[in-house]
Amino acid sequence: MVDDSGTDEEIPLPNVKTAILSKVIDYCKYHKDSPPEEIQKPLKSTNLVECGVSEWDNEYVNIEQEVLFELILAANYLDIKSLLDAWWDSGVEDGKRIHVVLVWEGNKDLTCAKVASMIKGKNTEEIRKQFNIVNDFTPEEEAQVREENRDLGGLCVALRSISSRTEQLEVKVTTKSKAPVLDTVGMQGTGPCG
Amino acid sequence: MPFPPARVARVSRTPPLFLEAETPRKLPRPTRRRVVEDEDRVGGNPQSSEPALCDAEATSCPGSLFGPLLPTVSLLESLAHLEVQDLLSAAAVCAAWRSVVASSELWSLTVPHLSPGNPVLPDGTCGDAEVAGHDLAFVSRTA
Repeated sequence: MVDDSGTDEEIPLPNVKTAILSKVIDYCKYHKDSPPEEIQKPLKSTNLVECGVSEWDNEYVNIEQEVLFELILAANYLDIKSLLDAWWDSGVEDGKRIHVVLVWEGNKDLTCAKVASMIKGKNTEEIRKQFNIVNDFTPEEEAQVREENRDLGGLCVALRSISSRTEQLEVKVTTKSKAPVLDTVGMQGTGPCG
Repeated sequence: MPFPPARVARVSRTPPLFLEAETPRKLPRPTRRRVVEDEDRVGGNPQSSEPALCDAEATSCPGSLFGPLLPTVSLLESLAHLEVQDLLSAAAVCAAWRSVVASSELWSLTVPHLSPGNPVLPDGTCGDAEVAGHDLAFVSRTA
């Protein structure tokens, strides 16, 4: 069992590099007394500091893209219920448990927000270049995607505008020329707008 | 729908569940993420017999860092920080990203008050509009 005094037993972490684990530990140490602030969602700026991120946290993720991705991978790998359960079972105080979860969630949220800031404001081609992504759409699919995005963009903006005034909606959407694209009560799970 | 939504692991503020393999004299460590039960899905199709996909292979983009290396759920959690206009740009990047953007899990994070988990229908006004070639009629009700 792992308690406040640690453990002599080996805890294998074969998928996490030492340098990356060291960075994760740096984050946990820095926030051991003060959980990170919640990050504004959606991001209002590509500058994370303007979205509620502290200067220290901003510097923490101001790293090469490959390292950032390794941090995300490590966070996913270390996000292990069994490890947390083992620690929970060791009789740790409730307040400390909550603190650990907040710090851990903050770590994941911060790295994902950094990725989001690298996407924000970029057009599709710039995003592909940023992340070295190959366009695997056929020309026909790409044309269809553009058309759908144009329609969905207008639709979603309108829905968000309406919903901000009314809180809850029943919405029925039909096209003049096609079958209904949305026929929804309460916007339940019918696509990007619901 | 030409680009079906990606099936992704449930996203929550609690640690995800994993299948565990006991390793003698060591703490258990995960072998893979648990296949999410149908009833655990958010916005998933409860009738489907297919398991939810929880790994990167589901939406890998050839040659990209986001794909073979990073899990879909991380892309989803990243995209959840973006506004609609940025999501539409992301949706046109590749088929894998498009399926993530089209997933109900993402929209339940970005627009939670319009999500399946919050289907309260208040009384109130009704109206209609024409948006991008769609006739849109809505009814709102006060809570």
